[in-house]
Amino acid sequence: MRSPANEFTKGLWEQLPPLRLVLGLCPVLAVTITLEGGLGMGLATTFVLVMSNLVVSLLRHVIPPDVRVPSFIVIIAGFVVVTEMVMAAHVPLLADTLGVFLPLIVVNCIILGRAEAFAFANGPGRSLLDGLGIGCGFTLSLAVLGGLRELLGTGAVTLFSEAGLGVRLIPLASGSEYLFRFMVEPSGAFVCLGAMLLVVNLIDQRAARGVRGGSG
Amino acid sequence: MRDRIWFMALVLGGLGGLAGLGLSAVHGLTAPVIERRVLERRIGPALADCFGPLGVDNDYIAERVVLDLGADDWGRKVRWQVFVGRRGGAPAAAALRTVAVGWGGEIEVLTAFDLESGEIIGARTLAHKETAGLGSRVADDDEPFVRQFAGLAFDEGVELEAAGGRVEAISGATISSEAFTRAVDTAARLMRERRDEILE
Repeated sequence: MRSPANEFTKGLWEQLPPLRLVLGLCPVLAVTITLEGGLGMGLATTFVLVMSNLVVSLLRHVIPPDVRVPSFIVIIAGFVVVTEMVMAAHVPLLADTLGVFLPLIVVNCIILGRAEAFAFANGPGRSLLDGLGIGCGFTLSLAVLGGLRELLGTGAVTLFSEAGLGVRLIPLASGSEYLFRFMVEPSGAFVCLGAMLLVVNLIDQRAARGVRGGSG
Repeated sequence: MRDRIWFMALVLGGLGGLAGLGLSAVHGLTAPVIERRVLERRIGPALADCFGPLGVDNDYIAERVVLDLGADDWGRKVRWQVFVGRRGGAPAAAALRTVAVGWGGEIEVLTAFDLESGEIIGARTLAHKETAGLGSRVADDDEPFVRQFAGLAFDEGVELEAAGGRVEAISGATISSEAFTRAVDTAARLMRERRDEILE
């Protein structure tokens, strides 16, 4: 059995959702045009994941196994609609950017996957940590992917546009000739995600070789 | 007990009921905020665009009224928001906020009318749940489909070409186009049939 700390940290590398489990790729590809979009989607998903993990775990002795999936879906959908309404009220620009992908969090397989594989079999404390860890890993992956695409595609990374501030971090060449325009197009998402998978796998291979070398 | 069918029904029903209660509470808290944002961020600029060139000088957002049409076939209340733009006190333009059901749910449309020329000034999507990339194009103000409503006369029905009208649908998004057109048509019909009530 893992230590509680490990329940959290496993989501950050060992079971990093989009890059290691390769799950939930639809929003990963769709909303990571900007750093803010990736970050917003990640945080919204994390909230739903943590809450649904917690509730599913608390009700794991009540929910009959035969109707567990519809029960999970009702719980998940409830939190998704809460997220949707709160975001539309308080961060409307972000909610508009995420658009239809916000309600589609309901069908994100990471969330249903964690409810089924983890929360239904573990206590609320562990499930909370698991949700938080996987959520942070998901948010981080989306933010890196969104940040890279925004930087390469537009030459800058914008933050806090919601507050009307629009802080531009790293204002690179504003001229168009040095920009990878296609990075902010859908095809760029695949290329960028592929590159990230490559990096993650290279690190993995190197680590595995290191372990083998050390023991031999 | 957990393998009894009545218990399963109880759990599912209970979860649904609790979710409903929770959601209606959150809705009660967020709906007024969302409504204010829609007025400020979407309707305000859209009407400034449509009414501005006509020299409208009243505060049409603050003076908005609600047109109560009673209940529809399913017993739901139909209440459309109306904005009247006045120039020197006389009505010069009006806009109606109407709803029609599209592919993914309700499409909320704001249609602005020039009362002097008898033409539609423009139509804008306020809220929708259409498919991203297809039906969602009705929410793009620069989309040719959306722009073709400007200049149409509203003394007759507004319909898609398929229904004998003049509006060309977005290919691949017929249901969404049809719903958007129906919302505009509803607004146009109300402008014809209830003009005095709207402008009073």
